[in-house]
Amino acid sequence: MSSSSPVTEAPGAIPPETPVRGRGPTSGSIWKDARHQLSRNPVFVVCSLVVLVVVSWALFPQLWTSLGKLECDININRTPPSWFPGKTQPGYDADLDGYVLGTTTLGCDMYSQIIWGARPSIVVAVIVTAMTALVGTTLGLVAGYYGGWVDTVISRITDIFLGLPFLLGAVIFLALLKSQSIWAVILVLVVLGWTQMTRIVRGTALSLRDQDFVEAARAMGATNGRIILRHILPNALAPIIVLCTIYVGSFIAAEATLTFLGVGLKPPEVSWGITIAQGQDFAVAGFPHLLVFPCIVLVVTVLSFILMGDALRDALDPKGR
Amino acid sequence: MGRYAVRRLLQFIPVLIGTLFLLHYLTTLSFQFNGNPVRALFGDRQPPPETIAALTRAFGLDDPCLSQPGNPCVGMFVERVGGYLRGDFGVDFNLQPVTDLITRAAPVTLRLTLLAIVFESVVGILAGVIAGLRKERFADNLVRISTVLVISVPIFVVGVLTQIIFGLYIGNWVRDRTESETMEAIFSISYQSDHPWASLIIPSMVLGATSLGIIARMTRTELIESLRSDYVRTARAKGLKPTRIVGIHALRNCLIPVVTLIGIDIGGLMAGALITEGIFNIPGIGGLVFRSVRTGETPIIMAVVPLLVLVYLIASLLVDLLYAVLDPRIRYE
Amino acid sequence: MRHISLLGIVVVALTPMLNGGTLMRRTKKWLSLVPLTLALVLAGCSGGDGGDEPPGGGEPDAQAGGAFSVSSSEPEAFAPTSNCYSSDCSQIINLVWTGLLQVDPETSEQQLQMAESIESEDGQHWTIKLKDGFTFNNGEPVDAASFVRSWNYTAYGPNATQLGFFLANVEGYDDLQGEKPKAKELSGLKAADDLTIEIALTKPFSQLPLVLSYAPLGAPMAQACLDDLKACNEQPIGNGPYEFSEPWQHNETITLAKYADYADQDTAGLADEITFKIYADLKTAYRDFQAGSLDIVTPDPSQTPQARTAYPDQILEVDSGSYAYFGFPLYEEAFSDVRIRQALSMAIDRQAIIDRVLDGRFIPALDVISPFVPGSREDACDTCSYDPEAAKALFDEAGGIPGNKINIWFNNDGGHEDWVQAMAQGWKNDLGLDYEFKSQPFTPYLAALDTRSTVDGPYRLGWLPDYPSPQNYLDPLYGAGSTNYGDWKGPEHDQFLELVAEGDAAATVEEGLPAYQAAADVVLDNQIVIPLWFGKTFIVTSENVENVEYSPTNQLLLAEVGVTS
Repeated sequence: MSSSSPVTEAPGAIPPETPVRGRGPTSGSIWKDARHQLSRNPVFVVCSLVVLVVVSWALFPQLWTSLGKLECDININRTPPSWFPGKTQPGYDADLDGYVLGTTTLGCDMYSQIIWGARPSIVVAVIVTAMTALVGTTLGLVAGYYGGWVDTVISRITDIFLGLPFLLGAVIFLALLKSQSIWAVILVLVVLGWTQMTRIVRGTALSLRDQDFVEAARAMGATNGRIILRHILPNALAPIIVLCTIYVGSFIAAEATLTFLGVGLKPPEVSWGITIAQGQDFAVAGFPHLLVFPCIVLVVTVLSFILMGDALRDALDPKGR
Repeated sequence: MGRYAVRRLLQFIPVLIGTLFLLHYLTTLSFQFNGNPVRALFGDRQPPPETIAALTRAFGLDDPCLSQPGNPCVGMFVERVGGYLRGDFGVDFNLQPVTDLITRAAPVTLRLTLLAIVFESVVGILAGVIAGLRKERFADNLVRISTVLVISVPIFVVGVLTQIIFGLYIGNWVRDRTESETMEAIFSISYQSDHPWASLIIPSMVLGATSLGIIARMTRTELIESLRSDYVRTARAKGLKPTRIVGIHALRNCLIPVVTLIGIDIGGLMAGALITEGIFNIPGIGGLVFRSVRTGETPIIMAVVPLLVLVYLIASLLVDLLYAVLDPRIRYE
Repeated sequence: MRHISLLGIVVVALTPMLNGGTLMRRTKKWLSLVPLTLALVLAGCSGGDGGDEPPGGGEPDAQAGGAFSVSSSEPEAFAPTSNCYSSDCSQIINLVWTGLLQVDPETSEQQLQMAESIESEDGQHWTIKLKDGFTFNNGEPVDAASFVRSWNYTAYGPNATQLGFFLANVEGYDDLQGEKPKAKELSGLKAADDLTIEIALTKPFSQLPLVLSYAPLGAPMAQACLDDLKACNEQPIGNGPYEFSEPWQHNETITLAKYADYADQDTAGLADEITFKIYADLKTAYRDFQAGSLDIVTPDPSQTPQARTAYPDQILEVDSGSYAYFGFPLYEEAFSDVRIRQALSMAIDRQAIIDRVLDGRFIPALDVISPFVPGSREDACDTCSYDPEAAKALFDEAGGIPGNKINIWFNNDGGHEDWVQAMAQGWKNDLGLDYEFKSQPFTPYLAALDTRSTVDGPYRLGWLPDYPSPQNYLDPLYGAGSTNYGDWKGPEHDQFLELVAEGDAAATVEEGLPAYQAAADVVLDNQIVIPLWFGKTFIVTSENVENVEYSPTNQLLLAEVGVTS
């Protein structure tokens, strides 16, 4: 997640004043069009493949590596693989067989650490995104649809959390919690992450509630709940999905950043953030492979999610055709 | 518009009090459940209880409600806010007034933020315009990929690599060839108090990098949008020069949301400086807060964070007002 | 009668050994070979006799003048000095103030500075006579009142100084405590005349001079400083060889220049100017050093291998006095059998962890007393060497640990994860023991230890001594009112306390050593803790400076550093 959180308009959001036309979920033509367009977009296809692979690491790490999570030998630590270019620090130049990506600071196999590290990173990102979407969408719909004092209260609360700078807020909350379990990280990311989603959904709902089709539904005696669920939500779905895709990538990066700052996950948990944080100090002082490999994996994954979101937005944006 | 501004200003009060209470409650809970941070000052040594008691008293952490887990300590909160109204923001663990710490750190962070904003807007808008004009061509793809890359590489990696490449390798090369102190300061590893602007240039680029990506992408989208619009088509039909079309008609309109984004970014940058300040040894606000959360110096957290929220609120109010000035379609009453 | 004996001047040309960081192994015998730089200090401390020696006499390349820079963290405070508790802070205090005495880093011998003599008949009533002619930076004389003023301020409860409790055994200390103390001044502290201080303690304590040698505690305070502490904190008023040439630039720099009116030319500094550059992160400091803008730096641990390769001849590695160990919760049934504790100790490959994970910045601990203080032994602990077979045998013989799993407690904000994990992995490999980390930040960690019941597995702790005495490695760690978090008690503990008391009561530190060593043996024989390793400094110096020396009690001896170019 970018450290500069208060961005009124998310990079991937559809401007709220251009709602997706359609009357409820049955008219799925825009989704069909989008699917068609996406399947022919090479960037989207490649990115989804990357995401699939990473998700399979998270779900079934044993399929990819035979080594256990903490099978390490400190006597061969920090050793780059033999094919790795550059000068090796004396004492760390053992010729290792079977360690394609070398070993970590504690002498674990880098490759299997990356495989094992996918799970916490993905779990954090997916759960946080799901919770954020749930909270943000609910509050945004309610605030935008009802307006008035409900909107004022929700907007002011949003202001408090939006004004709290994301990174700083996360550091403060986690430091005060003094718990560094995966659940603490998830909780804090959700608490700080829901605001942007709320704002965008609220904007969409605000612009939709006076549209003709909503008026018509109201005239036909539909309840507020029904109008929100059947008419407003489906029309707000596109920006939500786009934002979610980008969020997954951002939260993977956020976990790594918080871990780097020492308030995220902690060993003996294995996550990308931990591998990067443990290795990065040594990496810039003569052991570059400790950073290069986990960082490539992290960046490629985050990039895939963001580009997927980009492609989704292009496909769902009626103006883009 | 005046009434609108006053109403918005009045709405600051509940937001600020809400922020203060949130932080107060969090720090209180942290104290109640995790123990007295004063003890940790002594590290592995066990100080006598009266020493702990005296220090706790001096730091204003001796309220009995702090030993009742779950108690929100409303009395303490009222006292605190009362102190703020009198200008008393408490002391840190070295008994330095928090106001002193902030007045020392804020100017540095402000300079850094200002440079970052100049950097991200100039480079971001330029890159966005180039990409927008050359849509789907090489320049566009280059800008798109590099901006996404900047967003997805963790900032601490960007920061350290920049420091090593510019400060150490290029820096040593420069130092061997120039006598100019300013040049040396620009390529220095860390912040130099003798060169308060020059030595912040490279850190500000790291700080602005993330927002730069977002600004470039937004400029690009908006430009493409407005190039398709009717008024640009009209201008073309009238036979105006392409530079004039882009410069005056298209760009001016599409910059409004970009300016909004930059305005709101001020608050985010000031706090996002946390990592950048750490890497380049810049004694600013971010480092101050980071230190205070680690040591548990509540008064610093309680003073700095609402200050940042206030900066954010003022910035977003100004942006909203500016919006009304720039765009005649928007009216506040 | 306890007169501090003054060391004669022994000048042996050992300068080549000091250049380039290959320091000789420390010798603990008195009057052994004393490196040349120390001769300077000794000369200055021997009162009138040493004054005849020309400053820097016989020293070919340690020339006066020049300027150099040192990395530092942000100091806590300079007014009062007793709020200064970090070693970086007391390093600056050492230059800006001169206390009553200091302890020789090589021999642990006491060297008088401001004091002419420190005497006591019974160890309880002390008389300190001061040298005449010293002044503070603002011209005030350094007299008995300036020390009394400083200590009264330090001890006064509402002033909330960090080091006040060091004066707890001075008579009247209790009356100064609490929210509304009964008295403002220590009744046991008197300036009998301008140059005589009389101290009355509540009970005999032979180590009082050692305690007073701790610079932040022993520094005098000018009246002008007490009148305006805030101003004095920004522009300190000291009496040492250096003074602040400009106000404290918080978080940026502290610049010291030689104090022109410093009365004792023998202990005056060599360089004209010393700049402390303040860093929040050591890694940046080392990169600044690589870029040539720092002369003396302590790199981040992660930069150790690179620094070893890049500057092999510019590294200063000496004992730092720090000591790392794991304690046992002796109230837990699982750790009540000494064989279990021994097995855990023997299943740690200290040397491998130091070599591979800690980059050689430590030496394995075979005693609970650091090698830099007298009384330390190289073979005190039989069960501190790696012996996986014996460990496994002992472990099985004792029946193992219920559930075959232990919780390992440590604080996770001090960079301990890596080596703790390596150590735990060793236990798993050698003893087949499963482990779980109970790591948390320092504050809740200490709160958990303080309960003396929550912690249910081995817990990490470290120690940095205040003064160079074996007593300081024993009593504060296992004695009464100490960090005895494992709740060690019973007959062995009583025996330990008796032995420490016997050492305290001895006439000199030397005579107390056998008792202290016996006390250390009680700790080791019962494996009350797992000694892990003793720290070494890792300081890299540029080619611009020479004679960089370090002592665990005084940190870097910067007044003696010479500038070559």
